[in-house]
Amino acid sequence: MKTRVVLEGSRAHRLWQGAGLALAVLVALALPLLSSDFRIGQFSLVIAYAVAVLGLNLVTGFTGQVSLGHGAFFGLGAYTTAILVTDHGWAWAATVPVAALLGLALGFVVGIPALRLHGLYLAVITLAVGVAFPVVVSQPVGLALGTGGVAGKTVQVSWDKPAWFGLDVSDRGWTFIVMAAIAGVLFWLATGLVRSRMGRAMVALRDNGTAAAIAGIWPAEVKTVAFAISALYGAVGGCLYLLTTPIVSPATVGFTITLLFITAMVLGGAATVSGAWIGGIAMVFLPYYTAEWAGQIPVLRELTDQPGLFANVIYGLILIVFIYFVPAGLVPLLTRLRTRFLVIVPPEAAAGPTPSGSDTTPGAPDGGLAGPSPAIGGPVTAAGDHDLSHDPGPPARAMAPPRGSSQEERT
Amino acid sequence: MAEALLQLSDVHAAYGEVEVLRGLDLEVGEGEVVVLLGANGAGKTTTLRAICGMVGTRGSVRLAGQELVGRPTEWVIRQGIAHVPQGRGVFGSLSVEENLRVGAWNRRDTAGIQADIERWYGVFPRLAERRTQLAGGMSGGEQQMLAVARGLMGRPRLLLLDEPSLGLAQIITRELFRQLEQINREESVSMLIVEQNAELALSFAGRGYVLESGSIVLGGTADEVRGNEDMRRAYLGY
Repeated sequence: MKTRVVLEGSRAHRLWQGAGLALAVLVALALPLLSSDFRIGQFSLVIAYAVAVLGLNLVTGFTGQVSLGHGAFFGLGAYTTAILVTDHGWAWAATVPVAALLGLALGFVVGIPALRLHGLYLAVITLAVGVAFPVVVSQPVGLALGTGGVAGKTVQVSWDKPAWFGLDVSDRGWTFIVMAAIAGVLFWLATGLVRSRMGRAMVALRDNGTAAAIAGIWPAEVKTVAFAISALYGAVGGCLYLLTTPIVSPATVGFTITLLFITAMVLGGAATVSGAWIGGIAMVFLPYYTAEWAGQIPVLRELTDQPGLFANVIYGLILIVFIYFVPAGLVPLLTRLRTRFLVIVPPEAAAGPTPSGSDTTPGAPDGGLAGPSPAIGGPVTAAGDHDLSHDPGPPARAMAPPRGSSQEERT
Repeated sequence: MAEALLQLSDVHAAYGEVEVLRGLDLEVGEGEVVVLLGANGAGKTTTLRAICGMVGTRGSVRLAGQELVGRPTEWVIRQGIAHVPQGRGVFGSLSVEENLRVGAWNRRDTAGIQADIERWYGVFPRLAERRTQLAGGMSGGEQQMLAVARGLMGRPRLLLLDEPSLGLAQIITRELFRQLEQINREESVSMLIVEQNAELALSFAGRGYVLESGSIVLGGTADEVRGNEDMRRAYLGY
């Protein structure tokens, strides 16, 4: 197969991007048309989780700050929406800005210890927040706020498909489309963020904190902003979650979901934006299918009458295999595979100000959780067999390895 | 006499229990280039780190009369100091150009930043060739060039250079020093340079200090330092 080389920002590049966007919109519209309500519910859950995981990617993957409290942000959003809708009769949409602001504030507060602490110490602080949250909502103080205690808070949000919407989808399908649109905007904003001045500072801080300070970056500013934005995404993920599930309880927002967020982040690719989609998909479908598979393995069926119990073992095995073979996550892998047939090259020097950024920054994809790993952090090696004769630039440019592009953005 | 741009008096610095600087006095005047010489372990790098608040420091470090001791690094940098650390102080997973933009973190003049980027590409054509490449994948020498260029992107009043020639080919070192000289002349950026290549550094610096076991044992004009018998034997080798 011939390798196409496309200049970033060129017409061809925009065409590819447009095609990607069109495909994403098509998928978002086709899924609710073609699927049962049960499936649509699962896809909606993918969206809610993906948005939350994206928040974790920003603070841990891009900024390198370990956060073990993401479940708390998710829970904060979910509870805020649940209480305002059920007890105060608010519309769902009106609760989202409130939840987002509360998330922003809590994230900011959690980010403050990050100013002095890093690595394990910071992890412990954020862990405390993550563990404390489900306890607080089930205590009297939480009850007074209307959290419903251990039993959880039920909430009924159901939308009817408006008459003007031409496609023949169910009400659930309509909800899915709205959620997809919200998520689309949030992912687009995150892509802009990681390519901005702030995004560069986040990666600089992760790569080399000392050098970042030497460059005049104020680590306090970058870290607290990263935590705040991360928490905002987590909280909005929690709001979206209530569109798929009519109850939120301490068990939902416990430490388990924090761990699931972290595994989801690693699976997709921590230092990527689009990896959060893969994370969301994994969070919903991996446990679902492992449970199904576990029931089909003959040996297990004979061993026990509850083969579903082995689902977690299979789940764990899949994770181990994954982390061993694809340590940087799926998106960097897919990007590398894509470069076999489509290489996107940033424009030449003459082009003036170049927004040279990439969705995929290699290096520390685990956010420093596991220390240096040989497979990562190095330069992206160009797949050596490119047909570079298409390269319109001087030979020097051919040496520049292709970097990830924004293109693989959506589902 | 008016106070120098950078004034260190009775500076002590320690890593935990180990005191590395023991009552160091040093000054760099406005527009002056000063070279800091000394054996390995004498405290040259620590001196630069003490100025930037990167090591526990006692005593007084003043930039244009303003006390820097006890301030966080990023605050010190905002007062107009650029520090090019020894070895590889680049951001490995950012591209060359993104590294330069991070260096301009404190600036808002988009056009000026772009002009400066092009300027440093002119000085280091190698960086221009690799502008979109990730800094982590470049050779040591290329990373060194990038670190110097990134430091200058902040338009500092005072530039601290820690072994800028380390890992650079001689011809590139010469070009770098020629450029530094030009920056110093045209923009009167003051410089404090730690350099192993004493001959080269003294040919460019106005004054020099020799550091030994954490304090200054010799200070004077470049010619005085070069003319000192002990100094010549120890560092110039003739």
